[in-house]
Amino acid sequence: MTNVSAKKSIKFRIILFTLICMIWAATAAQARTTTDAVACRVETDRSILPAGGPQNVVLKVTLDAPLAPAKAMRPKVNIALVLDQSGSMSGTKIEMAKAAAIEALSRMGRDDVFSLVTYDTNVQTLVPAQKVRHTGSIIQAIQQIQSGGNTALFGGVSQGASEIRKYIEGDYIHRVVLLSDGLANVGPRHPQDLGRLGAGLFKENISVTTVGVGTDYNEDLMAQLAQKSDGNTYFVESGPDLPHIFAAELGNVLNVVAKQVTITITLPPGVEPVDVIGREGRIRGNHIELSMNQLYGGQEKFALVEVRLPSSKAGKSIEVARADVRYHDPFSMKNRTSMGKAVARFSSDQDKVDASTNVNVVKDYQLNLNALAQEKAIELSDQGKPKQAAQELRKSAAKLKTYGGKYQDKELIREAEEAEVQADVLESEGMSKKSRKVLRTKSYQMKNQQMQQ
Amino acid sequence: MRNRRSIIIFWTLLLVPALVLAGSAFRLLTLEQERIQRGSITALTDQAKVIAQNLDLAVSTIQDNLTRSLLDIDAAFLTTQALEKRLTAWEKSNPLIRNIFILSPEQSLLYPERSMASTREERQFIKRFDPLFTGDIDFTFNRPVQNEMTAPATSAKGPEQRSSLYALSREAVPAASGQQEQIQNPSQSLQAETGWIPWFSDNRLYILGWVQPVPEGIVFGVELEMMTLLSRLVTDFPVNSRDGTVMVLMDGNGNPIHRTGPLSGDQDPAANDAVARVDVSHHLPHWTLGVHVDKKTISRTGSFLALSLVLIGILITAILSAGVLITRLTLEKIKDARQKTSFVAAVSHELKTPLTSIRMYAELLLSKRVIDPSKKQGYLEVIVTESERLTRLINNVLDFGKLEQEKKEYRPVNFDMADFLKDLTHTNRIRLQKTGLKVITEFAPGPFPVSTDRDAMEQVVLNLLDNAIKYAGKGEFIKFILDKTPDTVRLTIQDDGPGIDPSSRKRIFEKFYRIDNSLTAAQPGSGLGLSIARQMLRDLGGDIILDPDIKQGAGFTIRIPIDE
Repeated sequence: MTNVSAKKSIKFRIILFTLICMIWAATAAQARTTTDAVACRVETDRSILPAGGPQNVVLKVTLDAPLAPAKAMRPKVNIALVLDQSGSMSGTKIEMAKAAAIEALSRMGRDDVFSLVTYDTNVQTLVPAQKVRHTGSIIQAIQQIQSGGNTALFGGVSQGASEIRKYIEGDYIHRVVLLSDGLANVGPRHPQDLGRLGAGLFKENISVTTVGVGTDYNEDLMAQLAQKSDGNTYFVESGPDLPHIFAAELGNVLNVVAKQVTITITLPPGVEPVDVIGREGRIRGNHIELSMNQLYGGQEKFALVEVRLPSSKAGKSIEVARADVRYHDPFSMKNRTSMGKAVARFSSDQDKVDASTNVNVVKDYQLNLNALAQEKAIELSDQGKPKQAAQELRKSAAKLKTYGGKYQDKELIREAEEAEVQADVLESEGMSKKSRKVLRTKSYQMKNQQMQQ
Repeated sequence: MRNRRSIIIFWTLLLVPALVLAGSAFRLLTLEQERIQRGSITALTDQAKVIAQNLDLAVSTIQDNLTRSLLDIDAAFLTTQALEKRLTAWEKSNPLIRNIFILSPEQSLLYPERSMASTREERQFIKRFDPLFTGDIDFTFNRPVQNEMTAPATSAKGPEQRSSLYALSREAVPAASGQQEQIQNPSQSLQAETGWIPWFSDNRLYILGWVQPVPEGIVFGVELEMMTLLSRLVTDFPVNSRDGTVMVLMDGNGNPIHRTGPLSGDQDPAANDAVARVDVSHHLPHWTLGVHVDKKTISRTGSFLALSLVLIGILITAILSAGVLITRLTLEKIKDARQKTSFVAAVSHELKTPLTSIRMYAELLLSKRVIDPSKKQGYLEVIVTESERLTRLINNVLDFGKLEQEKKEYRPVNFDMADFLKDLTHTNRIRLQKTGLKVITEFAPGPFPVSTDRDAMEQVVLNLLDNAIKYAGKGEFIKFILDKTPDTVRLTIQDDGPGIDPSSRKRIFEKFYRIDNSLTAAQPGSGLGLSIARQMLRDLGGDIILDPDIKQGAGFTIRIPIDE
């Protein structure tokens, strides 16, 4: 009697299990197919251009990343946390970094890969790359971190990347998160060198996010490393902000909807490329190539390109540019493409031309120019010319103000005011370590459309 | 005396070899430590050499592999555009490639272009290598005569993991898709010149690899991404965990690239001289691998040395203290023996004197020649006094024996000290009268009840009285002072004799001790009286002390617990 019922119950369970599996598979499949594609828009600063001689036009290629599907399994991540445990980190900073690391760990799933590298004078791998299964031992390892010694930043990042490589073949989003409060004094320490390291890692689809703590770290180095590897960069003035930054960064990483993004802008005959603004781009004949390591859900990333149009007559309409986007969709595990075009009409009516101004393009263009002005100001200030640096900022502020007034844009006006304040401070007190970091980080975040917290 | 000298001689005989042994052991230990230190430095240097060789091998293997990949392109059979496409695609995907270039036979750059179309990086690249690209410097300028690169025999390809550095360098140049690249049949044997150039620009090292297929004359190649190379080399660097050492890889400018080892890095390793320095590779000119050690901690024998030193110290201390102990014991034995001998002599003399007197007077009386009754009476009194003296002496000797063996038994009785003293002075009045000493008694208001052994007490007081008579017989008086405190009865016996020499005061209570001066030499004595007195009083719960601040003569104070 009992035997029969037991058999029945087993049978029932098997059926139930199969059913659940089928439902799960169906929903998963559905989730995978319902991801929206990355939309690509190409806009000019004015949709109606003045007829006549050759002119320069700003193109904005925007990528609108769709929101990550809520129900689908998010892509797996492979994170290497690289912590600076040099002597200067002692006290609140290291404690907060530890808390942040544990916080980051708590957000990771069972299939994600986590590794932890610390460095002072030497580099230690505290947690080798492993799936996040036994958080207990990892947390223990994190809590035992103690500060002391020098900063072998290069070695630390290298080791972090090497931990990432253990799972490089898997379908992960690879990320090294570097936290440092100091200057690199063992290993290559020139910002350019670290930039090249980032460029090398970018080719392996590894991004490095840099978190600078306090006011003593080398922001150029941190920014370069992040930029060349398409990671994010953050400036944290004091320890208690760290867990928040880590959470935000991890939120970003867990939210990646497109990887290995390449944009190829093709210009029709007669249209010449002039410059790529803000980003690193490659101009090949009538092609402009740009690449990004990833797009986050709901994010808008754009590239600004200046091109030169040939002379044309009023009433004529031409295709200005066409952008092809190729990327890897981590949900469907497929390579996908997207395309956008920009068409411009010519008119001899100046009012029409003015009315057709695309405020968003102008605004982003100006903000990017402002970012470049900030970099220029840093450079001038470094050369011991604070007056000229302030002038540079003021010039940029004035320009922002004009456009802000013209298009009634609050953001532009706010930026202009900030730039003026920066210029004032620069003139009266010179550039402090902190303001240099703020400028560098802001300019970076603008140029790369890093998500703001 | 001879005895003592021989002891010292034997002791020295033992000590000298022990010291010599200890010294040589210490020297050997230091030498051994130095040897171990040298050994570990040699081992570290060898390790550094091996690492340097590995680094050299790694770099040259990477360079060979990249050259092979370049040769595999078969550039002679490609159009320039196709070549450019393949190379740029390679540069975009391979982290080891920083830049690529194509140079026409007429020494003009086909790629990257000398225009704004190039990226900033490419423009800097052109600037860096301009003397090469303009033909000012020949590509073969650094070529050693023999180093003719032959076309590779094998070229390993396949879906290897990219995580290995070698795999990365072996990765073939990707073919540009969908285009007819090959103009001719590539199965022809390959003739090409190749080379690698370590290049310094702005005091930094760059490495350029180039290939020149012979028939075409076009030169193309790659710039190695130094940072990727370093990053990979650094993570593959063997970990040095030996205490007190550190290995530092330094670039041509003396900047540390990588360091491994527990030696604390607070001091700049470049500052203190390396114990060994190895040139890394001719591919990385002027790069060195240095070994730095902290000599204090390098050899782990430090604790062993300390332990050995402690052991040697213990040995020497043991020898020294044993010698001192033996010498002291022997000296004490000798002293004891001498004191005993003098004691026996003194006691014999003491016994003999009263015996002689007793016998003489007894014989006189026996001969009946003495008729005068008063004389008879005097003789008898002498006999009694002398026998009393004899009794006291024998009592002392007996008590001494018992006290030494701790077998002395006391029989406490209750009596009053004032009465006791009166009786005592009364019995001894004749002796006292004879010496001419005036007896003064100063008694505080009584009573002075005590519970103690009356005979022992009598012996103590008599010993003191004897001493007074013996040594202060020429004085004027002997004074007995009796008073009491709530706990004790105090009896002080003072005389106005010559007193006691300050240097001897400490020793007068020692057994057998007799002050050795003209005064005592004239008087017989055993050297036991005070010693016995003190011992017995202490046994009875009291004590005897010498009054320290008496001006004339000597004074002793006896304390006995009061019996309420």
